[in-house]
Amino acid sequence: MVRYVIKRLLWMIPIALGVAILVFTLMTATPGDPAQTLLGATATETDLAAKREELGLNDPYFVRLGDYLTNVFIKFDLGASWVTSVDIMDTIAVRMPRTLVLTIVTLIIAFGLGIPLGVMAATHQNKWQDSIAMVLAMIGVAIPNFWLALLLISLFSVKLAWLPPMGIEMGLVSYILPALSNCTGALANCARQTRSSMLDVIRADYITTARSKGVPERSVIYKHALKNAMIPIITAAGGAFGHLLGGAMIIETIFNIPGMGTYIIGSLNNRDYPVVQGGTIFLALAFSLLMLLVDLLYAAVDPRIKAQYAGKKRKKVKANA
Amino acid sequence: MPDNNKTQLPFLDIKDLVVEYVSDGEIVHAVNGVDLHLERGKTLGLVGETGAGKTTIAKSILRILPDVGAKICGGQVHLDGENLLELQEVDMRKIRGNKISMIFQDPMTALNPVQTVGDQIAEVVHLHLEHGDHTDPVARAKEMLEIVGIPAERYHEYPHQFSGGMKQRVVIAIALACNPDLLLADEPTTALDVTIQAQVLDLIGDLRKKYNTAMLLITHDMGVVAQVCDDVAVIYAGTILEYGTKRQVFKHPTHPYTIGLFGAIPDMNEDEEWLHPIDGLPPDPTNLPKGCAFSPRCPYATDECRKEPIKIYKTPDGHDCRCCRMGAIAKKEG
Amino acid sequence: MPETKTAAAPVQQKAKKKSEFMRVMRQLSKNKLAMVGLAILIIEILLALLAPYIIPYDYAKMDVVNAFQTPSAAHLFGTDDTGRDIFSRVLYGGRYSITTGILAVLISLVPGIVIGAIAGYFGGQVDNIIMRILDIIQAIPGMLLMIVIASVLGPGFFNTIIALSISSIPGSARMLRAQMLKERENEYIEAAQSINCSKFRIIFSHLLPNCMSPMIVSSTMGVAQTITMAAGLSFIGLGIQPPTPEWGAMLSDARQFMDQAPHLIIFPGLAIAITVLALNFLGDGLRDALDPKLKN
Repeated sequence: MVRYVIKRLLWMIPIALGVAILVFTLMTATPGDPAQTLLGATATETDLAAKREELGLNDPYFVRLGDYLTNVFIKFDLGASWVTSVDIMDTIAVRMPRTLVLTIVTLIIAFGLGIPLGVMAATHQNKWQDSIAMVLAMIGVAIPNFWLALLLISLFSVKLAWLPPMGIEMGLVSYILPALSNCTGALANCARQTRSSMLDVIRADYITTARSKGVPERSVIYKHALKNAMIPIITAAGGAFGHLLGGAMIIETIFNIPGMGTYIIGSLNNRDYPVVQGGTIFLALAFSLLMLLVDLLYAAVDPRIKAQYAGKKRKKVKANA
Repeated sequence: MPDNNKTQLPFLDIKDLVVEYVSDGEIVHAVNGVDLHLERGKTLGLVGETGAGKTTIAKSILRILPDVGAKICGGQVHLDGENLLELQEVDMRKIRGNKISMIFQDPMTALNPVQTVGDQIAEVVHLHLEHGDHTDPVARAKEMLEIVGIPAERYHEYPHQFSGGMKQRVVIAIALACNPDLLLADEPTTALDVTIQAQVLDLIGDLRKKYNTAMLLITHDMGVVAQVCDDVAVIYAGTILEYGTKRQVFKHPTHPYTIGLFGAIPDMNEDEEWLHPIDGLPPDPTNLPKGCAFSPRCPYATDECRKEPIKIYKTPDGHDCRCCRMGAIAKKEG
Repeated sequence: MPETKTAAAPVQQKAKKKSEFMRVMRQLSKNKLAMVGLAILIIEILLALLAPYIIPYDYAKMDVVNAFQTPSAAHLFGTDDTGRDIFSRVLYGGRYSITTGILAVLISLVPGIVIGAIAGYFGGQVDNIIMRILDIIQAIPGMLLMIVIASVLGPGFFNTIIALSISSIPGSARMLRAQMLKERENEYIEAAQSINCSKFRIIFSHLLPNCMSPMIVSSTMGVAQTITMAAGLSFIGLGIQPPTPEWGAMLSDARQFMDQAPHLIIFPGLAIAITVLALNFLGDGLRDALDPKLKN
């Protein structure tokens, strides 16, 4: 188990390296002159040349890439913002937690509601509860999060003035509307996944065994069936992390949350490349870590998968083998 | 029914049980008026082909038929004078796993893969703490493991760490943990290797003797019936065709279907080149024949057999047989 | 007798394909939700195609006197801050959103299929390298990757389409690979190898057709997702730019007038939601129709 975790953690190094190279290359390929953007239209040619020299833009691509990778992976230094000169690592340390809080709150709402909804649909297969849950899920997938954000703001902030339309001054309360706007897709996917996974499980023989033992129906569903149905649901949660992190980028700009999304998007507009690169690397690392957590959760719910992780050779994790 | 009936009824008494399923808008007639009875400590073998409704009968007794589509349409199931079909779900739950328990056909799928085997045994004890004889579920679970021949240290292991035969032992441990009065064994050995089959049957037999448990044994294997049962009921398309003591049915099989079943077993004493299967297939349960369900496959069938449902006749040795041409066949087979 | 076999195969396949297509269509036509979805999509596409002829006002014509009108008989969906008719703009905007969605998915399918097929068929080191590269790309949350690529390419209709399709390549490649790995185990592939079928032929005429079902379903769903993402890009100003009446761009415009004219944000968003809903209905129906195993 420990070996498995260490292996996975080590695997994150080449991932981060790859992401760094990829984003660096994309930034280099961006047309336009960052020096021009930074100094404004009024800058003289000598100023621009000096700025380019200062930013190292005159060096060949591979030299700059080498410098960047050395800085990031050996000196653990993401550099400073070209625009504000503030250290990027410091800024990420402040902003990353906000994005993670938003994502995790969203995930809790999505799965806290999605799982019971899916269970209800499965236990009432082909009845009205099922139809309603599934139509809700369809609508949930279809609603764009940024649109829902606007609707929620105009209702709860503008009309009713219950919740703040932007900023994070009110602590967790400020995250309610952003999380609600961002949760529908994940909630819907979770409900659908729970339903289909539960439908497979509740026909299993061991569920009949549980009933024949005199287990109350509620426990049959929530204790025996749901735990067995968890693997695909956890997989859905893993997929949802990626979507929610991505969705958070847009949601943050709408609600003006000073997290990673506003940081990266703002820097893209300013051609503040080091910020985009550093921010992306960190988001990718956060995502990989969360995926590792998901894989560990598999082991927590399914002893068969735990046995696989513990085994010397890691076999492919097969859900519900 | 008045109370004085209580004493007169057998321990388990099933009367005119009718169960239907709805599947794709069609009604499946799974069980069509079955009568069975069983005394304490005795074993009744329920014999028939796949799909004859055997498992449905067992699940109806426990009332664990799937919610979707399955319905008990009529009849009574009295256990100890109490009609199980009229009980509240809460009261029925107290009976399941406690007074009546069930062993399932496939041990590979009958155990919850994400719960330790010990916990699965302890759970049934825990659920019936109030009415059962045992106070410590974990201790009882360990005891049961030892009884079925599994070291108690394996309490914390998961089903995937056990072999098929061992899993069936766990299933038996679950079924017998609360010393049930009635055990419903649904093909308990079919999925097991031949060598393990005998062991498992012996184990069940020993435990039953100890607690005087009655058993309804569902099987398609006449050999198992011969080994274990007191009475035998032959079921076909949801109807009992022949019903008597093991001795009666084995010595004088009367219904053509039962005769066919025996004919399908190869006789080791004779050098037979071919098995003698019964020609044809069981009828479509959504569209049963009007008369005798077996008539389409029966070599002796006449128009009389196809006209209307056949009633039960008494054979010369006194057991039940649902065949109107019983006498004629007896003469022919002579 | 390799000649006769290979000669007979295409004919058989064609016949099979046709009847398979009919079966899927029959199955699909029984699914009410899928039919509703299909109907909505056909109507939307027709409206978008015919938009220039049927929209009541020029979608770009400003009419400051009539700005911020709420929905009425004259302006079904009302007017925006410069008095442009929102109904006309939403209808016209369908052209951009639907084209973006479909084109982006189609474009991404080509490299996606090639990469996935190579990884899935050859396996081993080739597969390993391709998968590790995909791992790296997919370690970046999809929306972020798309934002970065869109910003590299710059705003605009075609750039948006390219950005969207590049970021959906890893997904379709991975999906096809998984399908290939499953399909490759089948005996008919062994049979094809035994009659000296070329690798190219095995991949393209044997494996790929059998891997298409899940690709069709995921592409339908992919169009839906792409439409949302395209609108999202335009919404944050990185996609199609105002005054183009793209739905996301319209929402972005409307945002600043949210407190005085909430109806501005309703209709473009509703248009996106309905389109995506219809595509998902259709995708779900296709999944059920294409995969008999998944029925019930």
